[in-house]
Amino acid sequence: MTRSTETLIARMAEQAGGRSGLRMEAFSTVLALVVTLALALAIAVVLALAGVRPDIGTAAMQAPFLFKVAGTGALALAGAWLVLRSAAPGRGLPRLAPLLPGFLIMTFRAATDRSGLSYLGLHTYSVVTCMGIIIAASLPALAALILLLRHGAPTEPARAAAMAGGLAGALGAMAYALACENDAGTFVLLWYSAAIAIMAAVGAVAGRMALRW
Amino acid sequence: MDPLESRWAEAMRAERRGDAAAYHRFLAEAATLFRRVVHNRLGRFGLGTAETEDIVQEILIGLHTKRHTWDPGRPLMPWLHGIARYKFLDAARKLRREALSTTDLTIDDLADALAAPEEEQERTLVDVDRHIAQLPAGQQGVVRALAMDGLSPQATARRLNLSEGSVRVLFHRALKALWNAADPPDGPPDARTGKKTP
Repeated sequence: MTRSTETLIARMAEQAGGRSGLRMEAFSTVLALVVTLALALAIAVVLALAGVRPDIGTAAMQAPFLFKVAGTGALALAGAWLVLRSAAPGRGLPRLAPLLPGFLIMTFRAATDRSGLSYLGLHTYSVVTCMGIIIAASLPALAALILLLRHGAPTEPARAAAMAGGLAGALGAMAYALACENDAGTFVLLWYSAAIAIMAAVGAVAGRMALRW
Repeated sequence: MDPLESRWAEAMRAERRGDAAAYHRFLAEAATLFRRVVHNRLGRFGLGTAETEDIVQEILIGLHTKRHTWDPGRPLMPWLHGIARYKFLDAARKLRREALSTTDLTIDDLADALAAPEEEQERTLVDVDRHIAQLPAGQQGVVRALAMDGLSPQATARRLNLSEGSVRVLFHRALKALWNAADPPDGPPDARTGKKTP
């Protein structure tokens, strides 16, 4: 063993017992807190940018809204699981199968929707508004999740941050359901998914830089 | 259960209780294992093994700064393997980039680097020899083979049992070191004698 490695080991051994970061045993609890906080932040952004849909009182009990919440909620749960698995090595690489239920819920809704509403929404700018607000509502969530992942040791930084981006996007989309009056199943399936996919890509790019260690 | 797994997992738990001696033993044992694995892998990746110790230290630092990310409720070895693999691949990528970016170096570059005004040649040659003697062993071997024995990079690689890429990396580093020695960035070392270094 060379001298400099010996010195390094001796110096590190002196730090035994010192805290080096958030412990993995506590990670899932903190992740749950961060997700809750991120959802609250996303709702705040949606309220500030778009406000609640005027008919929320009745809509909240009807299929379109409930499917939106169920689909994005299933995606968010899957995302949280994937983020947890990507945070540190030793558990194998997470597979994407957990994302299926969320997409199945949205696909089922799109296939059974008989409202005849357009997949482009009610207004000319529905698609742009919808995706823009979802992304805006997701960005604070993504930032919070990346800060949390920096406490971990992601061995695939871009992949871990893509999962965080997808989770942030799902939270943003769930919050946006409060404002969104476009109830066509195809609209939700296409554009909510697109916004979530964009957030996953944004996450991957951000994570490549922010999550290296 | 794998004896290494239980012994090292216990040492990592001891670290959390502040047991420096147990942690020290574990780090030293792990370093030995990393050294062997890194040495083998570098060869297989077509990179020189001269960087082994640097990479071992990178892995140790990674393991130390991320030790909180091991959950004591889970096996240690898969975690340790993931950490070591990440740090190794990171270092290997860096080595490869360096090897690629220095492929255009030629022996003429070294000749230029060592060139000195006529009247100073005698003294400079002695200086150069002294500077070369101060280079790390790996770089020294490459410089002597390329510049003094006039071997081709391929022949140098064969003689020193390195890949061509690492010959270039080592040569490039030696060149930088020699440049700095011949022309120190913050004033010549013999400024106090009133003489200017060429």
